[in-house]
Amino acid sequence: MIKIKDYIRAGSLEEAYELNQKRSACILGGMLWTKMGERQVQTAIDLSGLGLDQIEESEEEFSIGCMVTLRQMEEHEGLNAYTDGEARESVRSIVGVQFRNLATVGGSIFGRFGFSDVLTLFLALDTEVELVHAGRMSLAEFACSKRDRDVLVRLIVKKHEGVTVYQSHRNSRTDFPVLTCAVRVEDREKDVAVLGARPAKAARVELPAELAKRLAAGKASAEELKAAASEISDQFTYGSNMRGSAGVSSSSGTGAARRCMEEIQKKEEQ
Amino acid sequence: MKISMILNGKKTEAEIDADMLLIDFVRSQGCYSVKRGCETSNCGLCTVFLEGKPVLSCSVLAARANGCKVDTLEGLQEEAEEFVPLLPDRRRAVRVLQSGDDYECDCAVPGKSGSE
Repeated sequence: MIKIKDYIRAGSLEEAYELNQKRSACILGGMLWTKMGERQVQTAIDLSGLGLDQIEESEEEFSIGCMVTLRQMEEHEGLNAYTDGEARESVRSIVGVQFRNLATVGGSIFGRFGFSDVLTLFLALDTEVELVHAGRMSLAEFACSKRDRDVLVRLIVKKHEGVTVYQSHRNSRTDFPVLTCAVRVEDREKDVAVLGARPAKAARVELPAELAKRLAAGKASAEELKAAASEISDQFTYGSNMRGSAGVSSSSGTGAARRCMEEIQKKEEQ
Repeated sequence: MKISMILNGKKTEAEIDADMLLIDFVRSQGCYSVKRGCETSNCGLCTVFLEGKPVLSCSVLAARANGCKVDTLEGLQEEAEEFVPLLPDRRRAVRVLQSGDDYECDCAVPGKSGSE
């Protein structure tokens, strides 16, 4: 269990950044994963007094503070309207309500966890992260970068016309996922498929333009989808862990990509 | 460090270690309905209401609850009783709820009532 010597509720982001430059410091998100470690923390930095627990929506974008909980994300009407309810779908199997009332979006994203449902969903959307020191960058770039001592402030999701589908595969209802998959088809020809929990960190690939067009028109046949899913899945690497072998992950990846694309077609038809 | 919170409607102050968890704090204040069932943030037996929202008190620092309103089943007896008839042995369940005793599988009663 984590040991903490001092607890400080940061008064500003700059203060949090300065405090976090020491290796013995640690920023607290929901503390659910952090708590499980054996770490000795000199200074635990709490960002909960900085008003970063809000989802703000404008015409162009959503701004999601790092201290927004998974439960807020699950219940936010605007975000769920934009994602066709997939924001809710992506977190609903994460343990239980009491857990999701604590776990934060910032903690999930900053951790770049291999099992992250949240990272999978946001990678499928046009998402940027804002950091105190590094400023803004795309979530895809951030997800690949090495963990450093910067402070994640918020996510910015830019709005476009499009359709999202999210699915996860779990061995039991509230367990970690053994595969996560999100597909997003947009009007601006930025169509992506994201596969996570393979068990590696979620990553995304672009869908071929022709396939995306046929998906948007609801015209792709079952055979086409099967072949496309296999092509998409082959672009990822898979690994083995206690929950399943690489072979199982790879088959699940192909199946999930196909099901997500089928779902996209259904949604486009509606 | 010193913290202060409204615990079950009563202002409660105490000197605590920075890494004290909320579950240990509320139990130190006599709220024995709150129990540690798993230590992996899964089971929900340690549920308390932090600013009205159900959370796992085994995963929140007591320091983070400084200045907040915290409610446990000890402060929600009337609401909790509503759910007790659902349990197979009502008289025994009520005894557990009222005494905060922790024996056999009845330890599930508070968690069950809280999350309902």
